[in-house]
Amino acid sequence: MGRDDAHEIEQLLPLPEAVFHILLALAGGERHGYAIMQEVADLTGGQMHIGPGTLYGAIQRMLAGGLIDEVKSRGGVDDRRRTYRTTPFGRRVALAETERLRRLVTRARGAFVPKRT
Amino acid sequence: VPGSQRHDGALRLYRRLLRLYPAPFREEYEREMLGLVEDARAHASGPRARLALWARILADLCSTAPSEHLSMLKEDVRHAARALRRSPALAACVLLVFAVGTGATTAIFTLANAVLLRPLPFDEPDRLVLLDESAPTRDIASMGTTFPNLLDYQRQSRSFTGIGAFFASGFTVSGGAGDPERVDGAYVSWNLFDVLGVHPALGRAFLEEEDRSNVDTAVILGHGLWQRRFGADPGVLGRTVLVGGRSRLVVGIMPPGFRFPEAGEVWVPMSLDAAANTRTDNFLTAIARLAPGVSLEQASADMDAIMADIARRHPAAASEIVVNVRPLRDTLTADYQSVLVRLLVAGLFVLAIACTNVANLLLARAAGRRRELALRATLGANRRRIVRQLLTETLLLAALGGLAGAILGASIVPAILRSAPIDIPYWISLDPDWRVLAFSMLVITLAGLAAGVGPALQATRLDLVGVLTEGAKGAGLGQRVRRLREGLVALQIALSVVLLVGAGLMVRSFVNLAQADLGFRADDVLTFRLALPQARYPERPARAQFYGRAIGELSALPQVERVGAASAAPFGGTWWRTFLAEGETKSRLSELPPVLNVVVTPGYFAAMGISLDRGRDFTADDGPARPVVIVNRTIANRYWPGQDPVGRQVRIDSFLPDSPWRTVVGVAGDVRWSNPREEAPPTVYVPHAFEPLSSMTVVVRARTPVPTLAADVRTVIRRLDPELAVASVRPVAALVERANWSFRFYTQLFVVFAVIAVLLAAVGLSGMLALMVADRTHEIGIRLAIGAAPGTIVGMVVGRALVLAIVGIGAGALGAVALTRTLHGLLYGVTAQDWPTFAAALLMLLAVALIAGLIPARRAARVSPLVALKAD
Repeated sequence: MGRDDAHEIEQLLPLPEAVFHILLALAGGERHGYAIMQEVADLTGGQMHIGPGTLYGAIQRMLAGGLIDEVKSRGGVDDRRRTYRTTPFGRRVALAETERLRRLVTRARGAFVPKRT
Repeated sequence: VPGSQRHDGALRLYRRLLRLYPAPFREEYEREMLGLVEDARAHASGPRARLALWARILADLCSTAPSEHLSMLKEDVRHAARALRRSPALAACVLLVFAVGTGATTAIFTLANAVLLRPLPFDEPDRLVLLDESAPTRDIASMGTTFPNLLDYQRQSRSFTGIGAFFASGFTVSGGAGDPERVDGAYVSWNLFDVLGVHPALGRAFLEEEDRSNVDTAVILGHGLWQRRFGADPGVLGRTVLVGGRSRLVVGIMPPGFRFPEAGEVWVPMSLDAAANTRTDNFLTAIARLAPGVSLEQASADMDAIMADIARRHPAAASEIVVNVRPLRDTLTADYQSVLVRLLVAGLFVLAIACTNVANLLLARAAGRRRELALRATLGANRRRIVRQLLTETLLLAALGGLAGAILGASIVPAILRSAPIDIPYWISLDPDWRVLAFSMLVITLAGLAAGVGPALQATRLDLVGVLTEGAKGAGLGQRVRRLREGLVALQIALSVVLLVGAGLMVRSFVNLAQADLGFRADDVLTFRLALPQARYPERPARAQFYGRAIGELSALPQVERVGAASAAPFGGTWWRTFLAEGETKSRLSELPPVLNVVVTPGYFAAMGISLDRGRDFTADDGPARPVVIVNRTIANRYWPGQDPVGRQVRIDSFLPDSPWRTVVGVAGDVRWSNPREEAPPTVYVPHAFEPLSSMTVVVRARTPVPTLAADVRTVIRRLDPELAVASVRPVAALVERANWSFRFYTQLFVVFAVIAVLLAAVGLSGMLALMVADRTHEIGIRLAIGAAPGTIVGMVVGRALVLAIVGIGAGALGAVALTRTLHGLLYGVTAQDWPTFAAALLMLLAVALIAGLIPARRAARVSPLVALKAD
């Protein structure tokens, strides 16, 4: 893998907002739908609420794209909830997006923040 | 707890709203989404938070449900395009078949829409009715109305906002650019355009005082005539132009596109005199606009009462007259409706054959894709998803092929009609409109679904384990699928039989029609129309004299054999009067039979090639002093069977006091004056010297076909009177062709449909057998290996073809018996159950089936046993 999927990652950027936030929410470990929604709300200080349709639409595409996968049920009490986690590929994509955003933020800072003399 | 109940209600609503998502998405995530919403609701504290939550959820639903549909559609289309690229030959076949099916249907719909569905180009056209008199006791269904009756209608009726009237005529228009020109038009009541709700684009409509008798000073021009002749100069308003030899003030220009009654472009007030018109001169067409809230029935009752009153006052003329109030649209489209509906049915048959054909192709392909589909199913795609994708493939092909076919179909029929030698009435607009668009979209969707649903469901009825574990070969088609495919092929053959029999009957009718004895010889005869302006030829003798000179000078042309003139050209309008033979005592109008009245000059019969059975032709001396007539064979046989009619006395319109007794001087052969399909009506010929009409159709018989004859004729007429327009110059053969044109067109459409149907059925049959052979290569190989003769194999395949053909032909013949009966009114000289036509159609299809079977059969016989067995 490694170098080989660089092109593939490039194709996915920029990530849709919901996708990046979901990856971020899953960075701390596997989560089910409601937990992802909560995490995103927390991460953004309540500014961003992902609705169920947006969430599962994104999850469907992320599963198809190999960014996340479903954690096989362990037969626990919470059996009916599907739980998701990021794949290594998903982490690399998230990292690439982060890097893209960082460069953007740096440029923006240079452009908009008044320089101290 | 009341609160939680409310929540449960909201949750149930949400569950219901989830149906807005595409089914596969919903099936996958419905539980998850409900769970998530339940959690979120449990964590939301307070009514405000809950309200905010539901608002967010609803907004989310509204934005993501359509986008999920769109992305699924995109994916399906992408998938479909990829699948189709893998089998381009099949895709091309399906495209073509869809294009043909939709094209045929759309073509006919375009025509039917133009004639039957589009609103007439008048204001609120549904409120317009025709006030049409009929005489049921005399078998006269439609005879217009008379001027005195019209005045009574206008005075007494309470059901209309207005009643207008007109009678069509031609006018010679001079002034502006070019030679005097004969232009179709009409004499109209001053309010007619107002009743129609069409107003002049420039100037004004007629005033009531311009319609008084003996005023005759105004004219309204059509837009086309105004552009053509007067260079679209608005200054022509208020100027006078010469119309029918009379100076008339141009008061208005009608809007572009408006023509009336059919192709007319010039209109003048009727200016009729009530005293000079009787209640038996039915030459007017009355159009009325129903008042708001008045129904057709109420208007009918109103008119019946008025007619009863007229009959009380004028029993001799009106006692058996009935006045019918009929929607204008119905009276205009009556002639076309039945044939268009039948053609539409034929078009739908072609579409049905196309759909079954595609379904068969797809079933065949599904067999080849079973492994692919089974693999996908085991990899987790659910059946609904696969069906959806297969359907998307078919719909994509239907959309592409259908669109091409629809565009072609919608443009080809108008193109044919515009180049046809017929005048298309102006109320027929052939441009495609939203109805054509909507219809073709509907047809495309239905065709795609009809052709695609069956194969998609069939392809996904999978025994997964069976398909994946069995060998590549010998995966014989399930018995059910084979039955289905054979049934579809038989259906195609059955539908083709119906179309072929229908087309056969139409062709036989057309041949009969073309061979019918019209009563005249059409070869090398030229006709043209002359109209002497009333203003310059007011005296009857002057008119008779002019035609005498014209005929004399034309006869002197070296290439001309005979010349004559008549009040009408064949199929060019009829003039009915009543007939009384000597010894009869009928006096009531209702007892007097109608006869066709034709005014002719000496030499007319010879020029037209109409036989003169007995007696003599007219001479220039048969004037008012010596009233004579020539009757046709039909009258002679009806009134004096086996006797000599010459010397008998007859009266025309005997109810008029000044109607003289006239002597029969000859018997002419029967001529089909009204229509090539109709037997010759009883006809009375009156000499032009007796009734010197100003407007006549001149007939010139040439010795040999002369291309310059028309030019020579114009030169002669110009020399006699440079102000006269030589109009409607046409060979008589062209008149016949014109009269038969629409029937020929319908016949051609039926034939084209039948040919398409038979070709599609043949290809369908052949393709299915080819697949059967491919499917049984192994078995055929074994048979050949153990010594079966190739002939047996050929027999097996061809036998199957013939069995299917016979089943299809049998069903089709029954269908044809039931359906071609509805063609009855269209047929000529052949019955709908004409057995030779049936036999020919059935034999033709049998032969086609045989050929379609032989191609795959020969391939089967060439199977090499070695290869077939090794391939396993």
